Amino acid sequence: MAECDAMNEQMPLLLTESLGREERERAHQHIENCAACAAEWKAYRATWSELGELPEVEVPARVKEQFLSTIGASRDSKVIPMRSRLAPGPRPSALPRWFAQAAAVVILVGGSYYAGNRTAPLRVLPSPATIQSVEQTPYSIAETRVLNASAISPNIEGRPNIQNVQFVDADASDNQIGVSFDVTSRVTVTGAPTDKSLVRLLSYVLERDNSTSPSRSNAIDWVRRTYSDPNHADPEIADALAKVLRNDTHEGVRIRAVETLKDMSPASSGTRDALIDALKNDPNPAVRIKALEALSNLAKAGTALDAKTIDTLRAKASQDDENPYVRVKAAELLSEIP
Amino acid sequence: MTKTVSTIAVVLTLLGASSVTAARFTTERSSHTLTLLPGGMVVVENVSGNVRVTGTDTDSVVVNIERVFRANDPAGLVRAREATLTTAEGHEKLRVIRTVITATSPDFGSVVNYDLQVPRYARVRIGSKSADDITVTNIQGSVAVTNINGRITLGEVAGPVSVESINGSITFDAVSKPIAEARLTTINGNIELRVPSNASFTWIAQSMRPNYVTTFKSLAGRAVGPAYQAFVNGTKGPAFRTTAVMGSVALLRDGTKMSEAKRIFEEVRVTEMMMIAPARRIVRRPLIDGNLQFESSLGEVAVGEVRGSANVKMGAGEVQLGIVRGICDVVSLGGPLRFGDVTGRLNARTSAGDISIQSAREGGTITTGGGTIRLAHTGGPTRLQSGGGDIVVRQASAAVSADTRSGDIAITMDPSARSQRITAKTGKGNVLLNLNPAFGADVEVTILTSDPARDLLRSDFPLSIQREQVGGKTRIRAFGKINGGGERIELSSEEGGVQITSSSVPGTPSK
Repeated sequence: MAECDAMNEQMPLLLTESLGREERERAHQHIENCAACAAEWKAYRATWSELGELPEVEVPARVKEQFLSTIGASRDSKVIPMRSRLAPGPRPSALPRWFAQAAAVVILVGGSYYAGNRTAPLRVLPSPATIQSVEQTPYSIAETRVLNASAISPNIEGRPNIQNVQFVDADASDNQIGVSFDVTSRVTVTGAPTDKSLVRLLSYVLERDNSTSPSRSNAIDWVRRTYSDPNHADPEIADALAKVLRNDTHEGVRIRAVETLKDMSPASSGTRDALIDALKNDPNPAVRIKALEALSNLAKAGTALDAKTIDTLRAKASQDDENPYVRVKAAELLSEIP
Repeated sequence: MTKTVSTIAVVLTLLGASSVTAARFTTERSSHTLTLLPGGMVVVENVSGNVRVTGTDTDSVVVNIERVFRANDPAGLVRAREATLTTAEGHEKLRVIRTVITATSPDFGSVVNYDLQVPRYARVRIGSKSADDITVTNIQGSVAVTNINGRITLGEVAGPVSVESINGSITFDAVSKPIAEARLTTINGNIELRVPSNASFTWIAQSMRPNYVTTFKSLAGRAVGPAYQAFVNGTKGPAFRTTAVMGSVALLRDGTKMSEAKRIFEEVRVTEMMMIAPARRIVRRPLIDGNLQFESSLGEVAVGEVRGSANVKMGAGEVQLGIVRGICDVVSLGGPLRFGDVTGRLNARTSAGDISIQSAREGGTITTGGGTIRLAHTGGPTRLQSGGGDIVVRQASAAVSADTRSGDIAITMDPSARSQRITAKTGKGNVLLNLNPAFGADVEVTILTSDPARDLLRSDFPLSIQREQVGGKTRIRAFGKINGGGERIELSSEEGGVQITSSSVPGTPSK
């Protein structure tokens, strides 16, 4: 409970991305495992989102000109109006909002360059622009990241879709500012199917709660093709599919998940339990049939049927209101017990 | 309650045991006598081996144990002996005789056979995994037996009886005037119930097939769902419930033989589909030069080519038809259906399982209670319906109607199709429709979502979009005439997206 109280205090900081990396990780882990805090976090984010719906404000030309001349930028520089969101916690500064927005854009584009070349006049490159990471440390796929301006390239290539710009000036006396934003970028992670980071990434994709995303369905199909190969078998992938099988409300996705598990071996106890639960409880008969086929494959591969599996099969074979094909298949599997 | 536990680790001692050593087998025997109070219970838990329990007029339990060890070499025999323990636990009201296997190996094994004489008044419980025979006779108390494999035989048991087997058959010889109920259940075995001709009881038989036989000349019986219920010699006796899920149930009058038994046909015709079949029917043929007619409650059909029409009615089983030259009508209560090239109109329906079709040249109706439908090509109006699962139509040159309770729908129209009526509706999932760039239609898209911020509608054709709030959700409607209009296209999705793409390449978007 004390942990939840602390979490509630941290949520505004988490929302404004003001927590350190370790604290952030701890916070997310707690939220993932605590229903109350997950609900609270959801509410925070909803409020945050609503605040973002406030009308956009155009920067007055006079102020823009004054500001740009202050930092030495060209009058011809292109300033793109952006939508700003207000934090529910402490406001970053008392500046008028339009001023903050103007500053956001300029700092965003030139901030990193300025950080490394404070004495030279700042020039805003005309584009195209994407943010390229030159960080030497392993790339972390996380909801939020904190980058030091000196660690990112001053070149902005392509046209990154930057949204929700925020400013952080935790200590006005330390000569440090921060700019937070969401940036949509295309990331391609390559590696062997057995690479742990790829396995983790795919598990994450499979377990995402957005069950109606076509990309997840495609991900399951792809996982099936890749990880059905015994050389690539990975229990973490199987466990992720087992979670999909247990939790997904999309029946087509559950069917795909159990089809994939059917072709994968060997199964962990968690996977086997998920198959048994699906056989017992899934309302879709196709899922139950495929769960049976998966259990049958396990038995053929030499996995002895444990007492729980046998009881479930016996109950299924005897269940009058079960689909006859499921009953027959359950009986067939039982008949193979040595 | 004072509990006296005596453990017999006979494996470690040869006292009282006779030993016969062969090259790869060793047999050890031991005998023990235990007292049991009236109303007491005897429990035998065995892993592999026979169990025989016989009621006597004494007050003691005599346990005869025979252990047979198997191994490839003498060292293995020692290990088998060490790994096979027999224990006797409990007290004067409860005796538990148990086999404990502490290690298993393909190099050695053991079988433990029990022969018990128990007081007739004893209550008996037997649990076994694998045995050739479990036999219980002359017991007045209740008897309960569970096993996985092996025959179970009960005779002269007056008390309540409960037998549950998975693969074993059950034979029960009832006493002359039964007063206690019996419940006999097996999944893959058969049941034989023998009763005196004057015994009064209610017989309830259940089976999936259902295959019930009797040597009673006339029974006042009737079908109750898939079961059969009959009063034998009046209505006052106890109930004998006999369930052989995949097997047969026989009710035999004392003095008659199984070969004299007749099937109870007429009364048991449960549904249109659950036809009487003596055994699982399997048809596997490369070619049928004519029409295919097949009906079975359990079965499997795999035919490479049917030169006429196909008419298959299946209770439960898989159906696979390669080429069907005529009309194809397949109805199943459960099991996957697979078709190759169907020339005539196709009517395929299963209560559970996937359906896949290479080609339905005249179209048809394809329905599953739950499962994925994959149709590679259809040349006629086609209706597809799933109780839950994806529907994929890779190339359609006629009207298509697809409906799933939960799952994605992907339809690709033939590049030559200029305008066809298309309906796709999913209760939870996405709809993907691919049209050729010149396809003309009046399009109406409806998306009901609780996440309106997502990019749910994508169309390569220009459409007008409206949004409205409906019961806490957002309804997105998009409509418009494409290429000057034409047949109606209705696409509907809840909690999913709709994508209309323009491509002249058949089979895209791929799923």
